[in-house]
Amino acid sequence: MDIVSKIKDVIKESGCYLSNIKDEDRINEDLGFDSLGLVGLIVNIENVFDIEIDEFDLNPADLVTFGDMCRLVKKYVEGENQVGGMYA
Amino acid sequence: MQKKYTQEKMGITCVENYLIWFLMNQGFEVDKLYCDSYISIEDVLKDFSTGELGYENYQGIPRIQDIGSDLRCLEMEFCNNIGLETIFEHVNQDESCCLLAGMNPDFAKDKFNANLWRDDHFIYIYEVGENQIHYLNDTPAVDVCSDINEVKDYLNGTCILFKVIREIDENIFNKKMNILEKGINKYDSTTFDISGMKDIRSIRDAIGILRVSRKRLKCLFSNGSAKYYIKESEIFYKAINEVIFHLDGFYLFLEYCNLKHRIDFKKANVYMSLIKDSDMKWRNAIADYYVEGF
Repeated sequence: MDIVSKIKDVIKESGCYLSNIKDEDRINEDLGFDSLGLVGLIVNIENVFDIEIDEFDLNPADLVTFGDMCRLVKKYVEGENQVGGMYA
Repeated sequence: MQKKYTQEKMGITCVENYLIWFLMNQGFEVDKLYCDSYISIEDVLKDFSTGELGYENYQGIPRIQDIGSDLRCLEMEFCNNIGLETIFEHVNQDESCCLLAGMNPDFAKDKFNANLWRDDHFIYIYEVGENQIHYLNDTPAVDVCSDINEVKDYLNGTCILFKVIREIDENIFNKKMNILEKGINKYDSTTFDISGMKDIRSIRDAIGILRVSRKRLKCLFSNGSAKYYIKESEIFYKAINEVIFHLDGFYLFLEYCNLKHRIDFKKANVYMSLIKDSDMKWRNAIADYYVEGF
């Protein structure tokens, strides 16, 4: 199963009722995860992929849509993670 | 319903979130109700440092319903032992009325697989048909149309009714704004060290409260019809957006640390430092605005 499908499965298991999740769906308004729900979702995704996301990468401004979430996870799964940005 | 129920939450509790949404749809200048929403970083951190307070019970910022009642523009009534028939009557006969129905603790878990902060949970029922009920649920934020039978067994018989009486009295509002302005201008250069707070959830909750406070203040000072509208002040908007940006990031960071049961205080202090700096910038912008104007 590819990365995107696995993420969709985790999202559905976490209580999202949207049947057809698209890249542009907003994590908050469309998928129904508030800030704390989003973090819980990320921890579930970490467990599924056996990765650990750097706390400084949890920037709400960069995690708006499902597509953003997939990009973040791919960065870690495909081993391209770098701690960066203003907090590093 | 005119506006989509979003999760850009300006409330601390579900009751506040529903009320804000209801008032917005009534065309009420809800931003003005944020005039009591300033609290200093120092005060919030001190309040939460005991480890005894929870986000959902925090009283350092008055509830929107209390401010509305205090400003004499909102009527609030608690009812017990209310049946479906009464709910039906209230919802369908008076559109200027907002009815929040109390639900049994199992409701959110059974229907939405959601764990809530507190046991008393409400839904906002806005339409009841012969067999169908339309309601909003706050966490997760969903607009639901369902069979009445799927909901009625969860109703616990309590409800809160809100009704708009009048718009906010300008004189009272202006007095409140004078108090707010003085509070904001007060020297607040916190030296509070969060490393001394061992409970990650307490730090998270304190930051959660600050986040709501600053988002509300941004709305308040952006209200074009208010006397206190900060017109075209690049300095103010840049600074308040900056503090909200850092608070959002820190809030996520802290919840992540909470779930992992560990915290790197070196990283946490980087956030705190950015938050303190940007918070001072917008407060200075307000102070300058009232002294000189931009």
